[in-house]
Amino acid sequence: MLAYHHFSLNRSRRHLLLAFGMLLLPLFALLIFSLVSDINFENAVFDLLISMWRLGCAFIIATIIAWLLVVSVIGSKVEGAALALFDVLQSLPTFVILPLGIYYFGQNERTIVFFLVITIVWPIIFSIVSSLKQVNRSWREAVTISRLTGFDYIRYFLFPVTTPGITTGAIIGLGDGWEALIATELLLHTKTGLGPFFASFATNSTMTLFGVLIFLSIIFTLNKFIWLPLLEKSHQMVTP
Amino acid sequence: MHTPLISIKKLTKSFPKQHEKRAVSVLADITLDIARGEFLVLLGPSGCGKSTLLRILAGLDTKSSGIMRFAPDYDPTRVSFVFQDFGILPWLTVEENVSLNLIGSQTPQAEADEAVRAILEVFHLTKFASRHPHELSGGMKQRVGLARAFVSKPDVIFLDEPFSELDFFTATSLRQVLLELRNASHTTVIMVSHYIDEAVMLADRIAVFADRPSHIKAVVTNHLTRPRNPRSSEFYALEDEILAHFDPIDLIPQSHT
Repeated sequence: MLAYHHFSLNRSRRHLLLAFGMLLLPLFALLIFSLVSDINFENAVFDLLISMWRLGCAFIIATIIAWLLVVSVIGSKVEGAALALFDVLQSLPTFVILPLGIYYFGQNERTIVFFLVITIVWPIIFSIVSSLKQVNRSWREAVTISRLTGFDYIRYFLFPVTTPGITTGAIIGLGDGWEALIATELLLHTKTGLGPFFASFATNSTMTLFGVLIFLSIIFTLNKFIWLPLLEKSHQMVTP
Repeated sequence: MHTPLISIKKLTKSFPKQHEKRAVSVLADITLDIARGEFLVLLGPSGCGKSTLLRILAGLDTKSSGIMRFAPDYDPTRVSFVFQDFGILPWLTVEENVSLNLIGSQTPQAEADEAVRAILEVFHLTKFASRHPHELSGGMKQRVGLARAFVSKPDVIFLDEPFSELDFFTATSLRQVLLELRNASHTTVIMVSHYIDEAVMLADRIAVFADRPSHIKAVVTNHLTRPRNPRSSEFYALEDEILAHFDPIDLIPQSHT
């Protein structure tokens, strides 16, 4: 009966093909780049993928934390206090926490992911809060009357109404995340990732420019073909 | 007289006013008995608190003071609500929206499938089962709202001005469907309306609300036989009787609620 109609990420098969094509473009540009310069293609792709992996892990952890925090706080007795606390915490410069991360986790992957999580989590939290605050009263009451509980409540109500917030937060959070990622990789002197890749070409402006262009193409592709359609679709979902 | 299904005595409701110490009184001294199986219409001008009373009765809001008693067999989980703005969830299909109350009541799948199929047919929604709300007209959205309310065969259905956003033809047709379903199921129906003709057409009893402060001015029993003819002299006479309960000042729209 209830074939739950998940929204599709792709607008069409053509859109999906184009998105994948565009995702391959930076790799193709890297290949050309490696042929005309002295960098190793495999190493450059590895650096790119390891950075994306770190950001991806941090994004997933931050999204889960943000979602759980917000849905347990909004509508509860501690909502006002919790939102005020979130506001204060999000204003704290995240680099202040970095030494603490190094102290607890050491100078390794976990510190990078920890730092990325505390950078990304705030825009996701506030975007989900905004989504929940804008929920139409009659939708909420219809769900109350239907007495949906547990997994059904999450599946049929909570997840759909928070999806626009998660998407908006993801776009903003990942934007901040890329910046924090490169900075953390540079600060921690990691041997892999985009940070050391850019550091190794610090004195070569042409190479740095080319690297930045490839980097921008990746971000553009992700935004244009994944995040923005997802954002549009998720907002359509909650438009009466 | 049989034990009323719901009995309200001296019920009040007030809302705190922002930046002010005193609260705004929305309902004052409401006393009313609602019989099992009756069709009761709460009638009054916009802003007089009748929707607030409906929401309190349905468990969507709380009273400030007073007594609200329910018959021992009243089951608050066996109620449905039809919203003025339809209240259907835009991310779900028509079929999923209609199924919502059955999912909440953990109805077995096969039974739920059959109930949904049947009610979609009654409301001529079968062809639109896989559509989303943004693909539907206002009338069709309210058909979904009504189908959702009736599918779980509730003991009580609360309706908050369900036809006020619809055109004349759609509203007339849906009123007829509502009456037929209610007559077949003997469900208790409590409906808010600000149309006298709608109240006279549908209700067994009409609670006439007045404002400043909001209270029930009269409860009029509708003895007109069904089907009712809105052009009959008896129909007009009852409309006049109800209208006589309103002061001209009651008909001036209020700003609160």
